[in-house]
Amino acid sequence: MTNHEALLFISIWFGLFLVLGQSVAIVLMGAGIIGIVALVGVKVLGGLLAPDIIGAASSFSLSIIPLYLVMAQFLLRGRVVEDLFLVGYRLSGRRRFPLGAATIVSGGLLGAVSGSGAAASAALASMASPQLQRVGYTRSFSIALAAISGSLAAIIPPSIIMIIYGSLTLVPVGHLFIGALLPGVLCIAVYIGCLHFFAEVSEEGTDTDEGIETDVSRSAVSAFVFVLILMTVIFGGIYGGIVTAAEAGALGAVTALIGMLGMRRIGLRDVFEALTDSVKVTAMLMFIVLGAQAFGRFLSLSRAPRELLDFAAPMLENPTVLIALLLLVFFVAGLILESAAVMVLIIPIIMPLLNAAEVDLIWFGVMACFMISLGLLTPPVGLATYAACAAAGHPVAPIFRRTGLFALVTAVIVSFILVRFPEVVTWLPSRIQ
Amino acid sequence: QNLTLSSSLPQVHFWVGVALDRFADKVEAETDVRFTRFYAGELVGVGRGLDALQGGTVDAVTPLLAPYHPGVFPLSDISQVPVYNTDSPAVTRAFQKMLDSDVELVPGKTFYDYEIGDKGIKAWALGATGAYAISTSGKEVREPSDFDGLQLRAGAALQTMTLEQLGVNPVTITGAEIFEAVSRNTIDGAIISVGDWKSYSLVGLLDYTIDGVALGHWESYNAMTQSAWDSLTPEQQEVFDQAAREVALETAEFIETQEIEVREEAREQGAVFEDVSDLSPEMQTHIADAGRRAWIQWIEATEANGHPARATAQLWAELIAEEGGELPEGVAEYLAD
Amino acid sequence: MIRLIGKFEWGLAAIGGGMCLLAIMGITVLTVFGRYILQADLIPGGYNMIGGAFFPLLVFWGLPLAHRSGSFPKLEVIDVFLSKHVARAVGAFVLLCELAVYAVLTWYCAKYTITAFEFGRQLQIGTGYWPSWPVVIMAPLSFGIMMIEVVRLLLRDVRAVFN
Ligand code: NA
Ligand code: NA
Repeated sequence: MTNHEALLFISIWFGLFLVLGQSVAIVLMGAGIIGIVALVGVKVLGGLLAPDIIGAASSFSLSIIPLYLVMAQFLLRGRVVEDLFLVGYRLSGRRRFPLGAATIVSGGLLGAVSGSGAAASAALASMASPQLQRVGYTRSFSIALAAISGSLAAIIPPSIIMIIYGSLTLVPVGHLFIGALLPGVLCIAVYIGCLHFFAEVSEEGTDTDEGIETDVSRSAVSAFVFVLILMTVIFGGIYGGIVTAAEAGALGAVTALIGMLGMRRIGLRDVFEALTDSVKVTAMLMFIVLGAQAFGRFLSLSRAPRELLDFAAPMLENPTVLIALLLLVFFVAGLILESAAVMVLIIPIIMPLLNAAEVDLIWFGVMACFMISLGLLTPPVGLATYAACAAAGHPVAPIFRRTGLFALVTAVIVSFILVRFPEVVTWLPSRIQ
Repeated sequence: QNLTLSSSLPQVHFWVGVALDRFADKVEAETDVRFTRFYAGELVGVGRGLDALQGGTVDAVTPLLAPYHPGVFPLSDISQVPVYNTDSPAVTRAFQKMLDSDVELVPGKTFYDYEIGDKGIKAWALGATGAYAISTSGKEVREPSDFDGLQLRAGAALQTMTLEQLGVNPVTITGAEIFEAVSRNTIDGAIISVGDWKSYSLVGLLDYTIDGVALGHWESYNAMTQSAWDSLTPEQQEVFDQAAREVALETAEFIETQEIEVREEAREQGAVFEDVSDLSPEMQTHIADAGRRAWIQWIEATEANGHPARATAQLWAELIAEEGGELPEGVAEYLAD
Repeated sequence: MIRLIGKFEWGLAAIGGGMCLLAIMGITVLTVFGRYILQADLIPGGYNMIGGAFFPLLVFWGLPLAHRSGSFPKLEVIDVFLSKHVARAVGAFVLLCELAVYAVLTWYCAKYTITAFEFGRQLQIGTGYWPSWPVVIMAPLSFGIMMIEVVRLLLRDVRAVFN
């Protein structure tokens, strides 16, 4: 087959099996293998497939992933996100808009000590959305808000997707984490703005909820303080140049473990389950990385990245247009594909382009991670929305309408600001050194 | 005739932008062989070169990084033993002679036979890097006690051995991580060649270097599959061989020039290069002792794994001496025993 | 038999993988502690141990359980438009392709393991070396176990189509 025939054939294969419901990792792996065989024959597989699989699975930079996952697991099992919400509940005076905003902020706070979003969305959907309904938001909107708040865990650093970006581009993960701090705060602000404009209020809701007295217990306050301590350990450690992102992850995980055990929030059984779950999710993510890597080898063999570079060469004059286009590609890919897959697939293809345009890789990486993470909220595949709906026992379609709207508006506003003012990303990391 | 040629490193690296591209250009200019070139690990990643060759994925790999295939090229580590007064061209010539040598390390097997011969590949030396020197940031190392508790980055296993013999805490990180680790004082410095400072943004950061003693030189292979080699006509083979040898030396010259430039730039920014012979006698003895013990440690460990490390070291010692390099004191006596 | 395999997969991930994760946490924290408090490298080669052994073991031991518990993300749009019978048939077809992919992975990883064993491939751990095959062999093992699970699902779907 010629390169173009193979690319066409594999695109059809890829789309077909994706729609037929094969898991993303297997679609990538299968399409990659078939594509390689179609282009250059079976003989090349021997030296490519197994070394790539063993090599990627032996990557130190990706070994950070389970550390940030297990840290979040300890906190979730210790019901820390619920307590964060309770503190916000109290501070908001149980008034409608402040409580909605507090939900977003507590999602953001949890996000600052955990790596991925779906689990936090589920916890907030079962815990926070009833309270949100009580102060007058509709049920659908309450669940959507829970999904949106929980998904901040992927946007606010530390983030799994940034770890993967770092491993692909050799940009220090610590710099990405620090660089994403201000954009994360910006994203929270835009969400709160969206809340103001798009909130849906039911007829029977009341603005204040004086019905139930939920005093903020000492334990809720201690959870809040603990999260602040943990944030200091992670970001203070990285920003202060004391530890690397990998070491911050391990310190954070051990701190969370000791803290949750010490406060008797989790038992040994929870520890065991948290470890198992983190192993499971890491394996799942790594399988996507392996599949995307195989697919990437097919693309390299087809010379597609080079053709893309030639094709996009005229645009190098005006990198802003190029960057805006690439961000759009990330957003669209995030609609259907799992975020790790988007990253591993697209970054190697566009790396020559980014280098040729002399794009700041920290700046671009933070923006790319941001666009991909919004995919957690957008239909048809949005894991945060799925998780919130599953926890609340609600059909997904009406929720996707709302989470998708938030994601779209935020994508436009935040990416405009970040492209226009790169300092929002680059200023803090430049001060690490 | 079309051959695929793959590199795990980007074109900005001298083993690609100079070694690989000049080699391929020369061959293309003089024969009708054409290369499809893949760079920066887009097809074959670091440490996966031999598998790609043996599995028939590609026809040629540059550089084939021997140290990233632990256990597979046991004797090729020899270029990493500590030596004095060497530079890139000298070590490159010594390594080429090593590959051409007909001295049998075990009955019936030369260095080339032992390291390359049974792997189904054909290989040439690349240009060796400059000397891997001890460089620190904000901490001058003048007396043996200055080494105690010092945290230095090491790349290869043999460098780690030498550092431990010096009393240093070796920290294993990749070249890309050195900048971050040094600038945050996670480590005090690194074992790296001065010529590499630029690619890792270390100019202006590392400010003290002990000159004149190398904790070895990194050397790698330009390799192709035996079947691709056999498919060439004798004339083409001649062109390949000539090009590979010439380009290795050209690369070494390039590396040497780059090293001098970087050194000059670093000096302008206040970096100090202290020749080992200007250090105190105790310090000179300490470094030489550590160097000798590293040779012995490597030889004994590698012999224990069943490889002719001693014979290899003897041959290397001779070739380094021929090129004007010197060994740590006591090594010659040890090898003569 | 199937239940036994399920238990085994769970044990690999929960006990094996969990211990690897604890080891990664422990090694890293001890390294930081040693660096700042004792000025010493408490676990020489810890970096290599994590990247070369504990992390790949964690991944390969976790894969079968992740696969069995259905946590691999996928697009679920087609089922809505198909009758139950057709959906099962489509599912069987997709699984058959999946089986082929796992078979290819198992085959090449097994070949790689044999090469690693025969040629004495090693992992560099600090100044020393560990043999690499005990880690590498987990890849074909893992994909092989996943094949069994796919066969079970496939039989279930095929039965459903013909019933
Ligand atoms: Na996060
Ligand atoms: Na999506």
